[in-house]
Amino acid sequence: MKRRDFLLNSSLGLAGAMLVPDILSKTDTILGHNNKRYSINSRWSQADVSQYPVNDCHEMVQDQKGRILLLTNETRNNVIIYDKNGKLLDAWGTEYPGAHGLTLFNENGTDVLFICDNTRHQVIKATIDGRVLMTLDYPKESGMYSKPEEYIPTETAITPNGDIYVSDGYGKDLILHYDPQGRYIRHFGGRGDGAENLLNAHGICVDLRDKTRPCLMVSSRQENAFKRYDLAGNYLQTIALPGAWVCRPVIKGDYLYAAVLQSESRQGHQSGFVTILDQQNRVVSNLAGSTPSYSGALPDEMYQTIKAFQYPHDVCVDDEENLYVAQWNSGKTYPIKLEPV
Amino acid sequence: MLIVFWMSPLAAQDTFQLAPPYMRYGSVFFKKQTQVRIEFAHPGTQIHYTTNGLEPTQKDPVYKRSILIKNQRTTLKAKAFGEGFHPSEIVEATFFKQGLTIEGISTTLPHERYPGTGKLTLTDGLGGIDLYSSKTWMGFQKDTVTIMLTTAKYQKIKQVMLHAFQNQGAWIFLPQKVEVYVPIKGTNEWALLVQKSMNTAEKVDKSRSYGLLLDLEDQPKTSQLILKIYPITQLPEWHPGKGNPAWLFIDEVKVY
Repeated sequence: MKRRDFLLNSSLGLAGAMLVPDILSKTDTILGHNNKRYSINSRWSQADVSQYPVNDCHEMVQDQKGRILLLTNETRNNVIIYDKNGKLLDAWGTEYPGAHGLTLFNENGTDVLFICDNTRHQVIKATIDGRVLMTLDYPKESGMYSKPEEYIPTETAITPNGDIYVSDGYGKDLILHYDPQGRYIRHFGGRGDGAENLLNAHGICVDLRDKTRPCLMVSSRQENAFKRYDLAGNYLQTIALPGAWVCRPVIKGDYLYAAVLQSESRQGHQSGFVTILDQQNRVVSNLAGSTPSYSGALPDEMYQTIKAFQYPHDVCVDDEENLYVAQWNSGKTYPIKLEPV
Repeated sequence: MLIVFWMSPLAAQDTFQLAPPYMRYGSVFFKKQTQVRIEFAHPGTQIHYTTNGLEPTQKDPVYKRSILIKNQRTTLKAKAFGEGFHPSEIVEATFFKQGLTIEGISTTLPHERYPGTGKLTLTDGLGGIDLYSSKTWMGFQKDTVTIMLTTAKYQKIKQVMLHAFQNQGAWIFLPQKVEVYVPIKGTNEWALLVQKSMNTAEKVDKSRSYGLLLDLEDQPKTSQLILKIYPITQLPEWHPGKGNPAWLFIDEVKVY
């Protein structure tokens, strides 16, 4: 097609859209593959930026009331609470300069939050409205750390019985296991050349898709992989995802969703996308990324194809299967919403 | 009229840009010829490419199968186009043919974090990888870096090429000056033959590997050369890490 025709088509498409103001905030671009395809809404948040600014938008979760919680390292409001339409409902938190990891746990019917703070070198358990319930300092008991600065926790995962796993993704890449009261049990992972080792253990979740064999799914982001361990920390399997700097795994239904911070082949250049794996942990869709394909058991190298995201850092999947993508270092922009088509 | 629509903020938000395609090659240095693949797994898009140095347009060839590179120095540029998207930025790489055989090389000791692959890093014919973590790169934080070369034969030398990396976001800058010296016959002295200064502290968004070419106008007969490289020592004022030491990354030296 000639460039002139291309321009003409684009403007015609736009004129069409202008007749229907409702969809002005959306685009015609559909992201993704197979049965996981989404329209994109980059103007979801209705927050007033002068009153509720964000810095890095690190992670998001949905609570049992259906509200969407965003964690940012902007200390004017570390937690911003939205409804699903992007209307701001509440905000709190001024004491989390390194707010990074946000995990929600239903504790006997009550929502509680676990926040990992990179700067404070701590994990903080809080109520849904920000009252601190417990603070976990650096895990001296493990014998692996001599000072708080060596410990830079990025994520937590909580088992149904309340056990806490912390990934020290910017520290020593260890996974720390605690009981529900915060007493140290063990550690595993860490750096090294073995399959059981981790490189940038950025995220962790409890995978209950196979009810008979619950396990932990851990990002080894710089290695472009997830690694599975049993709940006692025994290594089970590596899920190689060539090209993809995968942030935390997020499991909803049979699928695993992950923000990909950037493409391995184009580091430092806003080359992120979102990847979705099925129950067998095979890639079925890349949102703004390459069409998934396999050579044998391994996916072919994946990469960004559409510049829809800069540095995606987390995906939240709500009760209606919509996705919210929070981004790191992306011009202090609010999250992007994606709706299934 | 159409252009006005194209430039309006509304249009900008409703149309995404394609990411640049991905060039795949083992090294930008080759002996006789080399093959380059271009990847872009996105249905409904085409990659157009040029090897004449010009920006690819939709009139240029569509990439279908790997491209054969044979010429002494070839710059391959590619760009992705697709209906409903703004065309991508250009992705490019320049490929260099084998030069005169270099028999011996000694180099200022690199930084311990980026030692390359050892002594032969700069003459192994491997490099041009746009990733600072690639082992093909040797990294330095020094005022000057000196490379002494011995070629296999005593012969005329027309040109010297130093291949360096620019990735300012990762604190890696091209050198600000390079000098070439040859020995003065019958003495222990060296004569400065050519020097090239460059304004490399200026901001550049893209990262790229770059072949700095130094033409030796006199084309001296020699088997020995010294390259003196003057890196940017401090990150410039505009840089978020200003004042910190900058890096010099190099992966190959060739003489022609």
